[in-house]
Amino acid sequence: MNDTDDAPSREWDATAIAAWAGMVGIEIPPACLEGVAANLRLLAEHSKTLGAHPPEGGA
Amino acid sequence: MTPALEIAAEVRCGRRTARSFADQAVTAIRASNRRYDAVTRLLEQRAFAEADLVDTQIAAGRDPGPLAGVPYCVKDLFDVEGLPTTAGAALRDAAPPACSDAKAIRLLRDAGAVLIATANMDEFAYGFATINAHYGTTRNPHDITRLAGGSSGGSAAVVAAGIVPLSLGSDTNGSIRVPASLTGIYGLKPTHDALPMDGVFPFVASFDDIGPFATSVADLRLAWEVLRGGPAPASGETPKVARLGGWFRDGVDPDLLADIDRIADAVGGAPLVELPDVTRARSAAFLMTAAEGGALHLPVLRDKAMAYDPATRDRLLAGAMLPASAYLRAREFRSWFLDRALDLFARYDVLICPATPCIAPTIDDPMIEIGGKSVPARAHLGILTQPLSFIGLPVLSAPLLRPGKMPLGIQIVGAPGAEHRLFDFAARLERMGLIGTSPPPAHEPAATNLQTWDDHHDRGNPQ
Repeated sequence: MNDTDDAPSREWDATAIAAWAGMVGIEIPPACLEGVAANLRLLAEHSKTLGAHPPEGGA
Repeated sequence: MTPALEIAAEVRCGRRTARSFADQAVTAIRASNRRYDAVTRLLEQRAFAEADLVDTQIAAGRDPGPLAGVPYCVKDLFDVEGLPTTAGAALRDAAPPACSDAKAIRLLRDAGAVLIATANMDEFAYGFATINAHYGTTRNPHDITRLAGGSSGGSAAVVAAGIVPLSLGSDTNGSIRVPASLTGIYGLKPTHDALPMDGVFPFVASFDDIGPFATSVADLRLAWEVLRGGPAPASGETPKVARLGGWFRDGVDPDLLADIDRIADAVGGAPLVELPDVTRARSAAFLMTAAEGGALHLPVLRDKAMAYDPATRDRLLAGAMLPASAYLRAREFRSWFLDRALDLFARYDVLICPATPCIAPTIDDPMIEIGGKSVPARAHLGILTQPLSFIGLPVLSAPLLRPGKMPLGIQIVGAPGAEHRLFDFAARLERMGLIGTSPPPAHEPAATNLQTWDDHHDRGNPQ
């Protein structure tokens, strides 16, 4: 896992993915770039949906 | 296949041998696996040895146990002594063989059950479809043009097709409940950590559980009791029941909702209640799954990314790159969400809701609609199961009686540790004729080319 938190706002092009992947010590094979970018966008959407804790009116 | 309880009774009283039931299951797999692609490795030699041991015990006047001679299969992520544990991945074909059986297999064997085969799954259990680039796509016994669901799709299909009466799967986000719903059988996802995970290939430690599939509540309960190590107490009470609304009814097949409403009427009423923030719970589960799965696989991904199934690989790679803060927020939210569920269980004993939003998608077009958007079934069929396993609740997936229609199931949900209430309530619905299994359409056995079948599917068979 990365320890920075600007993933949701990033544009996931090849350069950004390579830099981001480097932080966890992995090189993304070129054939995977498109699929990884799509999944990063999906995770970013879920991160946005989760939002900050606690939920409104909660706990 | 005869129900497990009946098989055990026949074997224990000497009316039939365990060997004859094992032989029947092996023959059924050989005749049907080209049709379903549900089995990855047939363990014929081992099965006959285990069955013969049961028959020897009977002949000597000893009781082999409550599952005497019952044939069963396990998802291909349970350790089976002498075989590599593939977890559905080609890159693990050459992994060192397991030194011993998974604890769950040992418990079933000690109760007299006979292991027949390992069953197909999504690679590393990361999917709801059992679309496996290496072992093939498991087809639904009720309509082989449709998915069986996943990731324990092979374990569900062998039971739904009548090949064996019991099987074991694992459930991280819905991998028992989704295929149980789509193939029309029972499945149990127990309270988190209630059943032994020793010798089970992990995926997401925070959510992973194992559980049985069966064709009746009684068989499911028996398997649970053997795995749990003792009888489930009868609750002896009329449960207070509620229907989960909101997220759990939005966009769901109207026929399925009507069936749930009929169940509510039949049990004397079950008000609609809502869990708050389910959307966020699902997102949190999605994030934790990606992060823990990615972290688990990162060391292997660094060297062998291209050996993964592409659909699994890209998800795991992205998960490995997830910010730690997102994971921690998801974990924090989980505690809050569990408290909200416990608030509901202070008022109700049992909650009911759909297990899947729709019938099994077709294999040619494995997409489903969520919120008006078409999304891949592989990642999204568990939309209704994921928020419940997220907080470790026990859930019994039960098939609605839908003659002439594709199967659909409901989730019967309890408070942590309340499996006995789920069994009692499901048994009541079964007696009332509201839930139950229907046999799939009959088919002609395929003209099996055993050579081809062995070449492509039987690697690792100790024969």
